[in-house]
Amino acid sequence: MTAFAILAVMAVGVGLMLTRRLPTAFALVLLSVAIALIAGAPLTGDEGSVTGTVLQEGAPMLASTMVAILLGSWLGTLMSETGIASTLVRKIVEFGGERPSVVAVGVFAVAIMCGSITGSAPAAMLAGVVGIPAMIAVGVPPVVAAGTVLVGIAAGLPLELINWQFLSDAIGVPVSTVQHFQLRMFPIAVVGGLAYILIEMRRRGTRHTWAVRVPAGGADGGSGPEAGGGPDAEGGHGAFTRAARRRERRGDAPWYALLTPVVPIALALGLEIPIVPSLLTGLVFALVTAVRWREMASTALRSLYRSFDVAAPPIVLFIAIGMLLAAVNLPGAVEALSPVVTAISPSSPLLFVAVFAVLVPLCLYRGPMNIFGLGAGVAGVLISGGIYPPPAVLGLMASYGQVLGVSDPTSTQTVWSAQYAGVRPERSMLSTIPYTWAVAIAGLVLTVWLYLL
Amino acid sequence: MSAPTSGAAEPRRFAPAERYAELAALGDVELGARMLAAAPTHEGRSPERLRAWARTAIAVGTEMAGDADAAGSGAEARVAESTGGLRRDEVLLAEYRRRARGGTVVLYTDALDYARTVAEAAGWAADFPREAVRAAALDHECAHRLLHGPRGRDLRRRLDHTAAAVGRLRVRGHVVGADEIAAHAYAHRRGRMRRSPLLLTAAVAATLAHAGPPAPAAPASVPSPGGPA
Repeated sequence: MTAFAILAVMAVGVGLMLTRRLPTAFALVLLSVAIALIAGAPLTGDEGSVTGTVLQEGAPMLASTMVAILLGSWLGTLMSETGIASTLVRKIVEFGGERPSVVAVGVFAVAIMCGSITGSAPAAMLAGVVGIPAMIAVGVPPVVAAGTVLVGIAAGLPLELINWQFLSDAIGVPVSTVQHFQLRMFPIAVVGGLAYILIEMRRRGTRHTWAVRVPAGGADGGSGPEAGGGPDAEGGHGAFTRAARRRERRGDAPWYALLTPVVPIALALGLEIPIVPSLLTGLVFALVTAVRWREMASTALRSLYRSFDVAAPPIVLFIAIGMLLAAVNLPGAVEALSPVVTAISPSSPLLFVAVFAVLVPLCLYRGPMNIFGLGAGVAGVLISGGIYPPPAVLGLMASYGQVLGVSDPTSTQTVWSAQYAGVRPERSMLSTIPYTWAVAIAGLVLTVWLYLL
Repeated sequence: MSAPTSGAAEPRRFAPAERYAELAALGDVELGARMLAAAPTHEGRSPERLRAWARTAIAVGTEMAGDADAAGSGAEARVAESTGGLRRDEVLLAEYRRRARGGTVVLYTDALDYARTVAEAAGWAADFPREAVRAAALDHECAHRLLHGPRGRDLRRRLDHTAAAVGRLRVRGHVVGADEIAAHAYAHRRGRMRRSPLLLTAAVAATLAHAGPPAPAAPASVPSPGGPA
C-alpha cells in the first residue's frame, strides 16, 4: 500500500513537471517531502526524518557536483568571452565551407569539446551561437544544424567531468567506475552523432535560401539578420560599429588557446588528477593563453560572476535531486518500493536490454526515467533495493542521458538550439530520436556486457 | 471600415521613408559588404576587407550571368511554388534544395508578395515589378546551383582568403555569405533589373528591424502606406 502511494505521488510529480505547473526543482522538493512522509519518516529528528535527513542532509548531498558545475560554467563563460569557442567554429567553416557535411562534422567536433566542458544550454550556445548560423549559411538544413550541435554536446557528455561527478554522487559509485563506463560509451555516442549528420545530410540534401531573418532583439532591438544572409537592418554605421564592438569583445583567440577544452579532460584521464583541480587548470590555461596580462584578474572575476547565472539552474536542480535521493533511500521507502520494483524489473540480460529499450521515451518530457529529475529517484530505488548492481544502474542512466540530452524537447539545450536554428523543438526531436534511441540501445548492450553477464 | 492608407496610421508596418532613402543611396558593394558584416564568422573583419570581397563576389555573379546569357541557359532545377514564406522569425523568399537525385527551387509566393509590398512602400515599385521579383528569386537559386560547380571554386579562388598559413604554405578559406552576394548579382544581371535585389533584401531587413515579422496572412492585400515615392 505504501509503495503504491509513493508511486502515485511520483506520478503526480511527473504530471506537475510535464504540464509545467511547477518547475522541476520545486516539484522534486515537494515530492521528496511527500515520499518521506508516506514512508513513515518523522517530521523532525536526527535519524531518518523529513527535516534532518531529507532536507538538511539531502540538500548538500551533491555538493561536489555543484562545485564542478560552477567551475565548468566558469570555464564555458571564459571560452565564450575570450572567443575560444567561436574561433574554433570560424576556422572550421573557413576550411570546409564549400562542403556542408564537412562543416557540420567540424561543428560536431567543436560541440563535443564544448559538451565535455559544460552542459545543457550553455554548451549548446558555446558551439551554436556561431556554429548554427554558419552551418545554415553554407547550406546545412536548419533542423540538421540544430541536431548537429545537440548530438555533439551529447557525445561530449561521456567526457564531461561534471557528469562524472554527478553520476558518482547520485548513484554512489566511484568516479573511476563512471569513467570506466563513459569512456566506452563515448565512441558509441560519436558514431551515433556522425551517423545522424551524414545520413540526414544525404537524405535532406543542402539548402540555400533567399531569406531575411528577424533581428534577434526583435523589432528595433536589432542586431541585424542572424542567419539569412540579409544586410544589416540598422542604419548608418550599425553593422560595422557592432562588428567592431564584437571584435573588441570576442576577437580570434590564438591557436594555442584553442587547446583549452582538452586540458581538463587530458589531466583527468592522462594524469588522473581529480575533477576540481583539472577544471581549475583549464581555467588558468584559458586565462593565460587568451587574455592579456593586465586584463586577466578582471576577466577572471567578471566571467566567474557571469558563470553564476549559468550555473544557478542546474545547482538548484541538484539540490532538489539530493533531497529526492535522500527520500527514496529512507528505510521505509526502500522497504516499501523494493518488492514492487523487483517484480517489474527484468532479470535476464536480454530482457534488461529489451524492456529498457522500450522504456526510452520515459526519459523525454521530464519523464520518470530522466536522471536529472525523477530518474534519480528511480536509480536510487534500483540500487537501494539491490535489484541491479550500481554500475548497471549507472550504465542504464548514462544510456538514457544520451536520449534526453539530444531529443527531449523540454531540455534547455534542445529548446535553445532548435529555436536558434528557426525550427520547433519537436521537429528537432523527431529528427534526432531514431539515432539517439539506437545509441541508448547500444549503451544498454554495453551495460549488460560490462556488468550483468 | 476602410483600411488605413498612410504610414501615420500604421507607423510600424514599414520602416521610415528616410531609412529606405538611405539604403537606396548605397551602392551594391556597400550593400554587399553590410550583408557580409551580418553573416556569421565575419565579426572581426575590417570594412575594407568586406567591401573587397563583396566587389569580387558581385563581379563573379555578374560574369556568371553573362555566360548564362551567352549560352542561353536558364534554371534547370524543378520549380515549385508554395506559401509559408512568412514565418515567425524569417521572411523566406525562395530556397534551393539540392539532393543527389536533383535540385528543386521553391518560390514562396506570400513572401515574394511581401517583398513587393515593401518595395512599393519604399517607392521602388517601378524598379521591382512583381514578375521581376519572381524572376530574381528564380535566378538567385539558379546561381546557387551553379555555384556548386566550378563557379564556386572560381569564386573561392578569386576571393583569395587565407584561412591558415605556415611559411609559404597557404590554405585558402571559404568566405561565408560571398555566394549569397554572387547570387544576388547574378539575379540582377540576368533579370536586367534597374536595381540590384541586394537593395530589396536590405529593405526587407530594415522593415523587419523596424516593424517585426509580418503577419502570415495575405500580404498582397496589405495597402501601401504611401512611402517616400
